[in-house]
Amino acid sequence: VRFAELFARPRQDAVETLRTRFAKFRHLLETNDRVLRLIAAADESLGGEYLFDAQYLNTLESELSEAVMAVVYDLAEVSGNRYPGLMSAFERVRTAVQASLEPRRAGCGLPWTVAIDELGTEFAEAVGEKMARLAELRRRLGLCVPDGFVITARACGQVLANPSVALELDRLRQGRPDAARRLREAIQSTNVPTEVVSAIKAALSSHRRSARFAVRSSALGEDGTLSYAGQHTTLLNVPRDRVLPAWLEVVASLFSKRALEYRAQHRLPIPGADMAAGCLLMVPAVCSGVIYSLDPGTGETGALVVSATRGLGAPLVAGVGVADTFRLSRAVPHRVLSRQPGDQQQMCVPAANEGVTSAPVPPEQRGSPVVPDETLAELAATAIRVERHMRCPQDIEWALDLTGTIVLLQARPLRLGPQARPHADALRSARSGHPILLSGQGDVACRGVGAGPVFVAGEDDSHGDYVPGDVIVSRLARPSLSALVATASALVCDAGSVTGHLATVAREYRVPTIVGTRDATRLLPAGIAVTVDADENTVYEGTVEELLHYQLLRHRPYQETREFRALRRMLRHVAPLHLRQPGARGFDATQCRTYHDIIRFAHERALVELGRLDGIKLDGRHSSARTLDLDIPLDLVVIDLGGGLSATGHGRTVTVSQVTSRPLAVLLEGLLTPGVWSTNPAEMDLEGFMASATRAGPLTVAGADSAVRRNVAIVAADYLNLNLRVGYHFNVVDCCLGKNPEDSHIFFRFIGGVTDSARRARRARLLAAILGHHGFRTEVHGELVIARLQGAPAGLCEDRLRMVGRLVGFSRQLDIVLRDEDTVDRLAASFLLGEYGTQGTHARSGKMQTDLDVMVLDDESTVCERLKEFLEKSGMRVETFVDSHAAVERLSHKRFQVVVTDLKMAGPTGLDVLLAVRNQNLSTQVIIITGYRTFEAARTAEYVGAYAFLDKPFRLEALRDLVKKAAKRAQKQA
Amino acid sequence: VAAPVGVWADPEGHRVGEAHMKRPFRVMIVDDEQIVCDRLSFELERAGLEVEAHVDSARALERLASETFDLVITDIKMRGPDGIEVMRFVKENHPATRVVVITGFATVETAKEVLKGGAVDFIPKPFKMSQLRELVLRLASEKGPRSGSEGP
Repeated sequence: VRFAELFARPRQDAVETLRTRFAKFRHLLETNDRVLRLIAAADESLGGEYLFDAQYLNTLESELSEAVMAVVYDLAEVSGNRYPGLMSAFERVRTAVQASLEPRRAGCGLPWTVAIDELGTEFAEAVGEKMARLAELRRRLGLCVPDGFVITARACGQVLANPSVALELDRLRQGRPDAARRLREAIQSTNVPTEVVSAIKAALSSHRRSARFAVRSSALGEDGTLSYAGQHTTLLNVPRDRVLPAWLEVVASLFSKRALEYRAQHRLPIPGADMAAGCLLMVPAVCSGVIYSLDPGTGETGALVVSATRGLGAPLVAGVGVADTFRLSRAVPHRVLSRQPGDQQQMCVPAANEGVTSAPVPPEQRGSPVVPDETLAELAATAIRVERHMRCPQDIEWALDLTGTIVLLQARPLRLGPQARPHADALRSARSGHPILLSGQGDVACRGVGAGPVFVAGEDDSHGDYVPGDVIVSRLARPSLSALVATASALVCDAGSVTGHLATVAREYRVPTIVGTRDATRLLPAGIAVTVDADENTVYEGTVEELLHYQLLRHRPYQETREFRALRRMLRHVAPLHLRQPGARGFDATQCRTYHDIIRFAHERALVELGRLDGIKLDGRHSSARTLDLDIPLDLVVIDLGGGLSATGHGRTVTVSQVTSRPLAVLLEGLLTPGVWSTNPAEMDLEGFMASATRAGPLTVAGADSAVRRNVAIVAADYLNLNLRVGYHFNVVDCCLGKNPEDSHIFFRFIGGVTDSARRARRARLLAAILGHHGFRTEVHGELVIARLQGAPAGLCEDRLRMVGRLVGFSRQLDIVLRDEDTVDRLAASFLLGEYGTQGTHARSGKMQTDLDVMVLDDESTVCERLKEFLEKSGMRVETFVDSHAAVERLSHKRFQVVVTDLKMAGPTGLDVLLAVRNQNLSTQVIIITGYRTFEAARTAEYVGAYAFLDKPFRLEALRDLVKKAAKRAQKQA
Repeated sequence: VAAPVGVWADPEGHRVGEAHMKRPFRVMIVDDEQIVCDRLSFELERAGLEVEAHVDSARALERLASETFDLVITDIKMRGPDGIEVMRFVKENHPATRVVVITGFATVETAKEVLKGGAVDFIPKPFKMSQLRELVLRLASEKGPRSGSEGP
């Protein structure tokens, strides 16, 4: 009786379960799409064409986080919570995403120290402008900047929080006499927290013991209007083991007399945790100097100024050194316009122990030029490159190392007098003097103005004639142009979209870009000079100097506003994709580092999980099942989840023409291709076989009647899950033909017995070869063939599905040759029945459940009674509690395999019960029932180790199945 | 609500916005987000307009009490007097001044209220810079020929 009852109800519910799961899958795909669109929109916003504010960023964050969380939950539902690690990955990423929007409070989410390669200007709020800009030049432009790391302002905060230091800081804020000196002393003699010390030591350990560092101040809060130039300490030639005290000295310089006076002058408050410090390898400089990318005296846009001195540049930067000064043309090839030699007698060199000293310039070097002209030109080109990226005139510190390489030591906005500010009036006449070649066509992918000769990119990816500074004009937005874009003045494409790959790259390098112009390649002939004004979506013939000038001097680059930096920081935790190849190492929930990783993982797994219908009990007698009327002897039952069969006719039979499920229709086309199904192999009674022939178990058909021999297709308009026995072969086809290629997949699994293993393996290899030839990713495990095709466009997918249909029929004929080998039949039968034996026991008998002790805890006694009655029917022993105190008490005396508890109760909550269980007996599994699950509760429960969450209302069968699974886990862990 | 905006350089390459401008078209921007003030100022100045921007709406009202602008672009939700107040003040004191409302909290209701209150247009944030520029330039070109017949 009990056996019959077990299967009396689930038939109706199995389809419901499927429908629910399928609906979740659909929802997951849609949400996945939405997340991708949000990411694309956010990335597009970096192009400056949209005006957004802080509010937008907060809205974007919450929309993204909610959508990604929905994807994570949907996968949990589709997979039966198979990937709990994904929730922790989500939590981790979300914390980082949110920290990125609150830079000061969370230090941009950065640790105590960060390698310079990890940084960019978006982290200026944690590491100061100086280091953030240097890092930007190294990381984004690949310019030579010394290797090293930054000790963040968070670490500075740790020092200032030290009680002895905090006390002195308070005194300073109260305006007490001599407070600044005492504070500086307190900082330099403080005990640095061990975690900061070990972080610094770890960062230093990647450098040689003999390495010397420049420890540079990088104060927070500098912006375009105020630099703290020269206010704080920079220490040169610091040995590795002296970096820690050097850092403290730099931190203390935040409170130097000079720095405090400077702040007072500019009405700035007494600083707090506002000092980061760069620890960069010392450059053994042959000569050093400064470049102004414009002549700051005249504001003249034709020339830039280079000064150069032998040895280290420190005296020059401090304004006391003697240098050669050159004016060079800003235009390629950067001719030297004038020279002003300085008669340098002394030079600054590293001292033997630490710090710097002065040494005489060797007599043989005097009188010879400090830098050769070709190096000057190279310096000029570098300065223009930096200026183009930073989008404003630059004041750059440089050094030339022993190999002749230009190393950048600092780059900051060049301060210009007010007379250098151009007026918009000049623009009107200037613009009207230049013919418009292109206007209002296409979309702006990255704002800005750039000018140069037109380089028309060829179709063959050979870009031999390209010169840095050219305006690239291309028919297609080819990804192969990425490498050129970094140094281009502007980019204009006939095709392409603002969210395409090339557009993203252009934004990263801040290259003014217009895409989708339709006929730029026709309108912009190769070689002519043009000015691309991506702010107004216009291309002028010739070089509109006034426009370039105006843009350079008047425009505060939007890329460096607080909001754009915050968006860039946030996108670092959102957009990059690290999980690429399913099946590859690292394609794992715990490896997800960004939202993109998470949805990619969830999407991939959802496709797999959907086809894995284990635990679902269905048979052909279900009320929504229809028998498909076919000319071939294939007993196929179709269950429609929605849109898979045309509404006409309510009979038990449907015809092929009534199939509206696209994948099923296409598969049948293949299967019914003339010749494919020409002979009948011998039938063999394999009653009950369908209860899973394969590892992952396709479809468990309950009962032992005629329904067993039936094949089942679960369909929707664009979905098919087919379990098909053809002869002695078992095929599983799971296919979704989605709107987008990435939502489409074909999953095909073949397993067949009947022949010896050598032949089976041979057949498997043959099938794999055919599938592989058609672009499927295949795995062969003995006689099992698994093949996947994903991300193909709809037409291709249909073609491949048709092929699979033919293959199913064809593989059947492979057995014709084997037909008379009765030994083969016997072997096949025993193999298959063996499989059945291991997979079928728990599904069919209640034996396992007889010694299963379950506690049910809910403060509503009716709920307790109902659950008890139902679970006892399934052969479990159930104790119920309405009082969670009593339940916790009971738990310390009796062992239960499974506890089912409500979350919200008077007294100890479900989480408390979970904790009690975890503290006492590790093998007991806890299922938490909840009316509404708060994220916090879910997270806590996951950390503590709940087996599952079940949302009200739920089906009793779902609970029973969960309890059974939980009991198995409990037994395993006991 | 927004009028269609086409290519705004006419066949001779002149800008529609500039064609009729006899004196500079004066625009006031009121938004308590600095980035909005900065970016819109740059955008409109570059297009040849005279721009004054305020992150402090109380200060903006003070200025509006003594100065006349052709166009006021205001956010709705602000610390201090909000955008609805700014709009009312403008409509009462400078009936000829146009008002464009930009807001991050866009609902159909606010849009209706704003347009009923006499705003020319209502643009939800985030918006395309070019969309706003074109709207403003269109208003500027309309202003030229009509300015004589309008009130004080």
